[in-house]
Amino acid sequence: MSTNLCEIWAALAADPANPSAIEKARAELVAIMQHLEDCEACQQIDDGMANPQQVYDALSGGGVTLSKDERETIARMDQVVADDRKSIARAVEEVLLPSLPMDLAELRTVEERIDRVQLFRAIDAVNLLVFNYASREPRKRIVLSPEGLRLGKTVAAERKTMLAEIVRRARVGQDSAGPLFDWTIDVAKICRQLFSDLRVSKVEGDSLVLLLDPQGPGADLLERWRPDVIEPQRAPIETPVEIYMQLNEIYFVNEQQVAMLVAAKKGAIQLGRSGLGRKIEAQLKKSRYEAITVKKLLGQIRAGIGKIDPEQVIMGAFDAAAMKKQLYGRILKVGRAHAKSFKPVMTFAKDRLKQDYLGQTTTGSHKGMAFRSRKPPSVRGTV
Amino acid sequence: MSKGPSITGSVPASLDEVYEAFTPMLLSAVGSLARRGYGINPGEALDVIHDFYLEALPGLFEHFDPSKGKFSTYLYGSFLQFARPRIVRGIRWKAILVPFDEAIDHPAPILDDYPPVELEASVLLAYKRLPKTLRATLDARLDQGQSERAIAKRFRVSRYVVRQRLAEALGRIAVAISHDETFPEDLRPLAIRLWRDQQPLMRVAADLGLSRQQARLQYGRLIHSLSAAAASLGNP
Repeated sequence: MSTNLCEIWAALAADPANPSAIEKARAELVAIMQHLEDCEACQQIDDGMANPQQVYDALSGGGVTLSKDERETIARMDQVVADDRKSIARAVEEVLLPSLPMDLAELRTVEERIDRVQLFRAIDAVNLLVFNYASREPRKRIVLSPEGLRLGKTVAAERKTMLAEIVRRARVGQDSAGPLFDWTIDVAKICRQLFSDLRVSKVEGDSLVLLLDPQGPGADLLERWRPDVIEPQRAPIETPVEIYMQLNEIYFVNEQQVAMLVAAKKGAIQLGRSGLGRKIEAQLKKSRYEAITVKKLLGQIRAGIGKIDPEQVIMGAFDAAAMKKQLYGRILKVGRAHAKSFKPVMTFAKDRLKQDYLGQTTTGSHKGMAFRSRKPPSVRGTV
Repeated sequence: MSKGPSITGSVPASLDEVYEAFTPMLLSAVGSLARRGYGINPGEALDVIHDFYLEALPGLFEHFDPSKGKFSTYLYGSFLQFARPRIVRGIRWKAILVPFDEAIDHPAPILDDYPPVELEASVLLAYKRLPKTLRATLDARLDQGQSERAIAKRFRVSRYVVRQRLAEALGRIAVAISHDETFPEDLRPLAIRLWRDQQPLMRVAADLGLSRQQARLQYGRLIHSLSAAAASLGNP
């Protein structure tokens, strides 16, 4: 029975649009639910599921369904807008606090005296005060820290001004305002859309760099605080070996691309489609050039890695920063020589330099490179 | 009007009836949450629905007032309120429990001079101070190598509770470590950021200027010390 349920679950995971798989899964839904509690194999299937949304859609059929009116009623009920004081506590309780690490969610220093609505009002006080100052000088850099608000190099509001606003709007005592302000800053480091009219663009130590992002009072807090926008990822620094492996992937993809284009060009010529053949030829020229450039880069990096003690490389104990700087320098040098045809190499190296040495997050300008480094499934097996 | 079985407006007669009739509807609720940014895997979704039936349904039966609306609408709305914080917490715990599981299943190499005596002693002290249930759960995972499912079955709790206990146990150890001056300085920020602040391993690595390899090695040392503490203390 269990094996059968595993098979049904695996079949649905593999192809959630297959009517036969859907029918079987729907028929055994309750049994599957109980089976999943015990089955480690199905856990693996679940972890690797590519289209969860399709699975939900497939399994949602049958049983009780809600009418359009009922759905609309629920949708109206299931939102929390910032001017609806009654439901704010719900958004704080349901989304904001669960999204925080233990020590922030417990509100150790203020919990006993502060209720959920006051908590929101304190956040709102900071939001409104900062927005009020910053919107008057929208071109200036907005930096909020425990010391207060800075616009460009000017101090716009000191800590005591922020605390006074919290006391006024959240109706809390002076002694609670300080911990609440510090808590708000710590939470904004995690929840980048914490404020209704501001968005956290960067965290610099204890400070937040903010952008104006007015949403208005009608914005849904459940939407604004949702977990998938909470913390943008920043890539960790990479060792030369890791960079080498990435470039190696790009090289293989390029080689595949060249082979594919050669075949396509041949086919086009055989079919007498000379216009298409010329287009393919132009693409082929570019791809070959790129493949050669990456090959050169790989050679440079291999030479660099060769100078390091292999054991140190494995243990990551060498001076990674100096080594990387040297390697990026080489990448830039080779990249410049082929700048016209291989811009991604340049942007990749520049972005990494910025990220690693200047502490700036990447702007996404090496997106093309990142995409190229992902091998299609057919290529993956051949490497 | 609602379609399907006639129980939509009234309280169903049994739990079996609820399972059969309402599970697809609640899966559509999970789908709608996922579209709004609260996404989980379908297997986990079925876990949440199962927990909802066990933990919340008796209260819903008790409080349902047919004069105010249909049972199906009431159930759907209540489920959203039940599921959303679980999904949010689950996403956060995943950030710390996935690398934790990986480090247990694939231990990192340990250099001769690691872990130092101070690390072992600090972790052991923090481990000893854990409340009994948290220590037993962490022991089961670290020392006895049991999966979350096996631990849930053994202690007769949901997997959600097991994850909660593991995350809390690691958090408490990190808090204890943060106050322990003998704890090695190079590992302290990693332990605190990972387990107390519940940040993903690779983000912490990026912030601390560590390479992936260095982060994994340091993390491996922490896990190694935890495992050693669990082994030396035995079952509580």
